Amino acid sequence: MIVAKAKDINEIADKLAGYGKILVAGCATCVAECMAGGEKETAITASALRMALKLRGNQAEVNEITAERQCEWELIEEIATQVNEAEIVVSLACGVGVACMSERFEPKPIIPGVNTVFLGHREKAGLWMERCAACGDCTVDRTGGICPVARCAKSLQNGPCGGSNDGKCEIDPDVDCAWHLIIERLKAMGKLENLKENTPPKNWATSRDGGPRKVVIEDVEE
Amino acid sequence: MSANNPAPDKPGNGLYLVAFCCANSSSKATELSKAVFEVEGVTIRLVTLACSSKLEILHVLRALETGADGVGLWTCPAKACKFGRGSIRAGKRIERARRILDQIGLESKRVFLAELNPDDEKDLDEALKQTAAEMTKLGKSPLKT
Ligand code: SF4
Ligand code: SF4
Repeated sequence: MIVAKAKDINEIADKLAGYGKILVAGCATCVAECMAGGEKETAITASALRMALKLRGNQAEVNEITAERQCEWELIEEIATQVNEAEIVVSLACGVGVACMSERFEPKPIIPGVNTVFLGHREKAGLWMERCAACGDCTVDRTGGICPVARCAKSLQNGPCGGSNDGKCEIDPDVDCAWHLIIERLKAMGKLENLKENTPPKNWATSRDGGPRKVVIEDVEE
Repeated sequence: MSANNPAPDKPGNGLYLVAFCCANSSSKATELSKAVFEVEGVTIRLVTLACSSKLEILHVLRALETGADGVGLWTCPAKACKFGRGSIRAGKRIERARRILDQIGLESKRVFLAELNPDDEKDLDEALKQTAAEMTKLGKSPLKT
């Protein structure tokens, strides 16, 4: 899932100067799961913004609504009335949601209320970890399902580097060395011989380095 | 403090405290649940929770947004929590609510957090008196001016 983190309320409030009718729009999917922009967080953000604006002498009306998803045209449509009534929308969806909402409701300003941080999962209550960097050419079959692009600080294709220490990465003793994990996983799988083969340099053209990407499925495309 | 000394149901012009209290930490609090009374000139609405961890960040924010000058949460001591980690979790929620208030520039010391010894009635009286005194020092919420 996409993992996001709440922005500082003041940072959002700064961008609302001069607006009289504001809508805080949550998204009930990924950002709800990571507790950054679901219904609960939408209510918290709206309440905090009402107070922040009042303290600045701005008597703006701040309403709230949560869409099932802000990255699907049909589901965006369900909140169209509330969006249309607002002068500006603070979207608590990920960047994809903000982009879709901005396109659908052009020229209305749709501003981000969260920072979209990574693709990951909930490791345990209150802790989300990055697990994939969407490189467009998945090779984790060689690394026991552990992604060296997302989890190694240097995205090394052949590791570990000389900085690996007691299973921890040289960037931070609290961060696992991805290549240490890979070796342990391959050992457990009886596939350590995977590492005898040198992995050639990755072709980053399939990742962001190749420019914006798209996926087309011809038999479904209209 | 006495429920026989009821204050108006609305905050009015005086200082107003919404006091959340774990039902397990004080039977007196349970008796007074939903009661509105006055302590040292501060109007207090006492709300008991099945466990202090039932308190949501939104409860704190909405109380302040809608007219409270302060919000308090009284939990059981961490080790006495009937549900294990309730008091600890509640404390962390209060911390997060305070962080949000700091961000928007509303004094986070308007949010009180303290422990009560289960069934020590004096504790609740004392806690409310002390909080009322601190509230008086802080004065009205800037949201009300
Ligand atoms: S190799 Fe690429 S697609 Fe596969 S998990 Fe890593 S970043 Fe994601
Ligand atoms: S210590 Fe491990 S995770 Fe860190 S940069 Fe080196 S190989 Fe990558």
